[in-house]
Amino acid sequence: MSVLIVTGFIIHILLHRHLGSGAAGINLLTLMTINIALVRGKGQGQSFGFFSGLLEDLLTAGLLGERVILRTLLGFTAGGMKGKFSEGNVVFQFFMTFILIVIYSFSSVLLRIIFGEPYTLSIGSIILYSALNALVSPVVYKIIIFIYAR
Amino acid sequence: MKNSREKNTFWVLIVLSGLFLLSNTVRPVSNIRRVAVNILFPVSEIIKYPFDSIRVFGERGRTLSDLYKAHSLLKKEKERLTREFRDVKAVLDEYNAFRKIFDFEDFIPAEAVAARVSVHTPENYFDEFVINRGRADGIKKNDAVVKIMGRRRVLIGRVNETFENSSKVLLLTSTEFRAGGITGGNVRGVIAGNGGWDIQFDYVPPGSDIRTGCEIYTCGTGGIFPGGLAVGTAMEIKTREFSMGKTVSVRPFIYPQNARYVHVIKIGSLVKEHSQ
Repeated sequence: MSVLIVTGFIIHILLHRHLGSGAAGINLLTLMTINIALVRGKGQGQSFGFFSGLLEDLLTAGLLGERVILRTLLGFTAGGMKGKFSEGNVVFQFFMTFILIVIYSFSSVLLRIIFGEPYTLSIGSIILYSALNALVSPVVYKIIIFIYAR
Repeated sequence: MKNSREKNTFWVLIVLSGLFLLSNTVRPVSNIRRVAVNILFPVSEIIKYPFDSIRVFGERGRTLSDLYKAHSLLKKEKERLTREFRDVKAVLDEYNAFRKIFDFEDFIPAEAVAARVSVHTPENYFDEFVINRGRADGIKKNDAVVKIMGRRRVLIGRVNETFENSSKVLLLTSTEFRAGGITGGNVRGVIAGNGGWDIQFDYVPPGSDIRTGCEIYTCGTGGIFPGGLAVGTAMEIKTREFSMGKTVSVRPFIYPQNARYVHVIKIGSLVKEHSQ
């Protein structure tokens, strides 16, 4: 799992550098958290979410613990869905990722408000961001399945 | 069993996450984090370095490729321009050759019209010829007709009659021809045709300093010719009786009968030259 976290983090950084971290960005670590949870269950999902969030929080500016708690919750919630849908159900993956990332984004704004951190709330951007990530999610799911099959 | 372990882990992770969040409010912890970030920053930079190098290398490759394309385009453009330059040079050489043939010079007035002598009958050999320019070219009666010789504008005559596409020119050698003249020594007189090869410089004041060999020009005060048109060289000076002044026999710089190509200076340009 540690290899997955570090590899995911490096790719995440590279994606952010080339695609941008705004509405058009792909949050690979969050997608990996959701999909690992869907494939492997709550335990690995929450652990991956916790450690990937911690690594990102430590190495980037912003609120420490924000990504840690949100991804842990995300991993736990998505892990609860394991086995409740057929593996090839791309539509389910899309909608679940979309809803989870919308909740993740709003929660992130909420945490920033609570801790007095700067934030930007644009519902259009959140929807676009979530939809983009939801579109990529089935691909990440397939990759996770492939990695774990090995 | 597994579920309870997962739940316990979840709560442990949530508590830890909460602690991390709360640590934002405690200043020493924030400072520790800043130190940690500062320590870990070079690590992240090291991780990024090979990827950045690849990216930079790729960008350089793209730049090189763009430069190569630009170079190819410029090379083609250079070849095209070289061909064009060669063509233009050929035209220019041809133009200069024609200029040489026609004795064109740079100081030809803008309003001068080049013309060719089209009719010159033996009956009017010393009096007039016809040129191939007329009213359609803006030629008017009394326009000066000159021949460009090197840097000189040599007087040939003046337009006497105009038609649509041709004009009659009264020649310098005609007995009807008159023009105000002046020498280099500022001696004034009247240039008049003689009906023969040489012309006369009449009404030169008695006692004026005029010698053979001095050059005679139009004085520009007659209202027809601009000043400074070269006419000829004084050959023989005669003093007239009864204090009538001197008469000078003048050899024209060019005999109008020898001219094949001439320039007509329009009166409008003459007025402009005088007003300047």
